[in-house]
Amino acid sequence: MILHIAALLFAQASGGIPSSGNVLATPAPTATLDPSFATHPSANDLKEGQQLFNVHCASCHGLYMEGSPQAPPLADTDAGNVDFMLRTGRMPAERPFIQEFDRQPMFSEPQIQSIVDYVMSKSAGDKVLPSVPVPGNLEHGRRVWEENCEMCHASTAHGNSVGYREVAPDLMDASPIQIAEAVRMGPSVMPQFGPKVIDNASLSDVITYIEYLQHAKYNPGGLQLANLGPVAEGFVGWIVGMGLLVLLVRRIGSTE
Amino acid sequence: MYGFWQQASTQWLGFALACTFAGFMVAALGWARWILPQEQVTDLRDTYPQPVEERAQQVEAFVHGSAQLTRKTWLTRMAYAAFGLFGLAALFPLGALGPEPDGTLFHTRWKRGDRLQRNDGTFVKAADLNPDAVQTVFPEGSVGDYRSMAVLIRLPDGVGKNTTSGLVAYSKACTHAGCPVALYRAAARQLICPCHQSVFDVADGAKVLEGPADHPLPQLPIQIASDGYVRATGDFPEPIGPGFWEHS
Amino acid sequence: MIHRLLLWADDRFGTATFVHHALKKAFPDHWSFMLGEINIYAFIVLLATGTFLALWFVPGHANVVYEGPYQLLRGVKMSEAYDSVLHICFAVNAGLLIRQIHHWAANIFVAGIVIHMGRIFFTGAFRNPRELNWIIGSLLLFAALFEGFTGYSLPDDLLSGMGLVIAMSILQSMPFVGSWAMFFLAGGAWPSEILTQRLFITHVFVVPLLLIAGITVHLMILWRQKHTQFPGARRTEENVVGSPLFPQYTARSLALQFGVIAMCCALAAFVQINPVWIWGPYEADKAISPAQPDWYIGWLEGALRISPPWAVHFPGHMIPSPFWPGFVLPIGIMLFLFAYPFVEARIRRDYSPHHLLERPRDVPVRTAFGVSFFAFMLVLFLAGSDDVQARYLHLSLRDLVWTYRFLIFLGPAVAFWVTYRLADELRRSAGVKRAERLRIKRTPEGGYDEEPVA
Repeated sequence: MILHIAALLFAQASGGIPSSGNVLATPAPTATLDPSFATHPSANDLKEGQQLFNVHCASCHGLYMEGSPQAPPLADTDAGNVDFMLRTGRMPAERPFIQEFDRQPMFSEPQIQSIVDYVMSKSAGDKVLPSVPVPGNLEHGRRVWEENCEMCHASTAHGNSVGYREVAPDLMDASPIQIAEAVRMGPSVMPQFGPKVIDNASLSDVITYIEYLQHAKYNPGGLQLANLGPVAEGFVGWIVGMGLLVLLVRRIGSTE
Repeated sequence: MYGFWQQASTQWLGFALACTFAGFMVAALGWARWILPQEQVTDLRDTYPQPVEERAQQVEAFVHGSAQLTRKTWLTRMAYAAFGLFGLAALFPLGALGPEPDGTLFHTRWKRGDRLQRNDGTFVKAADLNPDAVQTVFPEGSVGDYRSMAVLIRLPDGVGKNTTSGLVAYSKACTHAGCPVALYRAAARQLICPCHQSVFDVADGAKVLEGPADHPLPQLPIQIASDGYVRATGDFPEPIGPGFWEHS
Repeated sequence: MIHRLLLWADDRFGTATFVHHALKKAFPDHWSFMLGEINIYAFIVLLATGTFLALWFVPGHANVVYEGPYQLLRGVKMSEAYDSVLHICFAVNAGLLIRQIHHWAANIFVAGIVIHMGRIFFTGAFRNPRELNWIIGSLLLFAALFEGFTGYSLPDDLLSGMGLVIAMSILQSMPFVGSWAMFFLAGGAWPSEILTQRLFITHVFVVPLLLIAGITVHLMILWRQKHTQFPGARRTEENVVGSPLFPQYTARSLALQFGVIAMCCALAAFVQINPVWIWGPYEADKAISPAQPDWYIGWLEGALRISPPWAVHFPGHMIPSPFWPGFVLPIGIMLFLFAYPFVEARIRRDYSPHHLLERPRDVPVRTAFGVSFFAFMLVLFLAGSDDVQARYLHLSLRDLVWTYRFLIFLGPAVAFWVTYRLADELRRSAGVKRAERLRIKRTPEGGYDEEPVA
């Protein structure tokens, strides 16, 4: 049994180590973002969008998007914001005013588009979804990341608390378009990074870096424990290291 | 052989080492348990305190010796004086350990007219910041300087006290333990320190809302020059970073 | 051959009696007596791996541009120290493994000291005549903490840089002498160019020397006073019963040595520790979260997090709030540890020497007090990672901080009460009656009689 556990541990720990000699080469991120993706209102879409909105959104945001004590008005909202909220499953929310974590989106891709189209037909906000080409420059992406992102989302994009009840979420499953929208819109308590703070090229670079963190990381040394750092290391040191050593001492130290 | 060492992963090497020593351990343990005969010995403790006359002789030897040593009082005093002087002299090289605390703790490199420089070397124009944007800035030519680092934030219209057309700049060194106050909760206009989670209210002079920090972040006086660049109008009005004795 | 060597030595130094007695020295057969040995063996691992690392480490502050094999950091400006650590990780044969063994051994070393001290405390082994060795042990604990912190700070990565800033702010928080202490010890205000150099010489020379000296004295005193032992058949205050040092105990101790080394290697092989290439080089304005120190400094981090913002102001002067949790608390804990044997002796009015140990259940107040102290440290330790807990348990960080502010009082109190009741129950169920001691007397007729002792 011990061998079995050891084998399991070993398989996990050595998973990220490529077998070739050039262990540090960076694989190119594969995801691409369609730069032409934007809202294209059509009568059909608008009708479906209106139906979905009235059923799932209007109870809080109001039939005329005027808002309510539970939810903000949508008269000025941007397409990227609506798209982000629906795409990441944050909306429709289960409870008002509680930060919604990433969940499975409730709607299908065409449904999301039609709701976005419907909302944007009534809103004065920016109607174009943010779009950037990837891949960009990985090393510069890392610079942008450490300048603007890692203090909240953690070095490896695993996320952390940012005070009170809010959390900078784990980005391990974030798609390029979600990242682009979040950067531009600033959901929840996240700051909004306009094009003069992070320009489109830098945005593309940082998305490339996040893709790198998600997939092909060269991060040697064994089990990474979500890169929580000393917190996780301390628990392993005490429970595994010290625990086994005390058991060993009990075995060695007794004469029976 | 060389090739093996070059490419061997940490896992394989470590696993091999661990197995080797675990093998040694099992061997030694087996030896102790099954090969060696079990044997018990009994040691007697030395008894102390030691006999009374022994103790008395010890004290006597010391007292007598001391008396011999300090018989010439003036010589003894001179020896003390010599050692004292030597001790003082030893302070001289130790004095080179560090400079005397000077104005360093009270000032930074900000001066009137400095533009605000980003980490990538570019300068901040007022129009660059959208509402709720946050930037890390340094005085011109001092990028990376710990004592001068500041956060520049644009608050939405109508929010915040003491803003310059919606812009505010605060020292980025936490007033609790000096970590960079890097987390900006834009919707709540709060800066949070990642080390001990002090919360500062950006809209209200960076007052402390939560956590162990005991005074607000110093605010950098800024103005928007006619060329559109944001410029400092002077240094922080009080010492930056954590408190210290001379900090009033 | 060895036979002749022994005779040769006796011809010159007269070692025969000593060697004979030393080889037959009795080591008590209870497993808990081996806990302290974990530390010696972990320390040996630390010395060996640390020497290896020091062959490559450069304690320099000057900026270099990274050109090594780790692609993500190529072209990034960093200190020579950080550059050399990356070199150790990615370019030195087995460098990463040795670095991880070193760090894991450090975690084991301090954990081992804590467990060993717990054993000494709960069995009353610190009592007369062993008070001084308890104090030396406590000093060794604090030296180990300091050694660990300096080592953690050496790579000059972003995580450890944030830790050093905090350490400097604590130094600076001392009333009267704070800024002087900082300028002299660190060579100026943060960030000081010479700090890495000083940390290096402290880490590889000064503190290891103190540790070696301390361990030597610790063991010499142990040798002279001989081991304590649990009460049992043939065991008295005047003797020690156990296995002889050679060969029986030597074989067992060797097994433990190999076990400790194997454990450090296994952890280093399978669990990553302190991936500095991910934290990135230290830059003054950068921060990462979650940001925690190694576990043995965690209690200090927790104390800094939950302590209230209590600064004391005088005209023109102030005592900043980190002074209380950062300075007063650790010094207080240190003094408390030093004083404990004497305080207990005074409270129990028992100044006589003891070589037989007490079972924890038989001294419920001390046991409860010790557990309550551990609970206090545990609450502080947990508070040190409250941001991670808030995130994974979906709680409000603010609520957590306030919870810990109450728990720091409630936790130790509950721990005391529960432990006291438990120890008391155990003692009763074991048939030892409370507050009723009997003295057995032999009557002149040859029978036995008992009378109560006041």
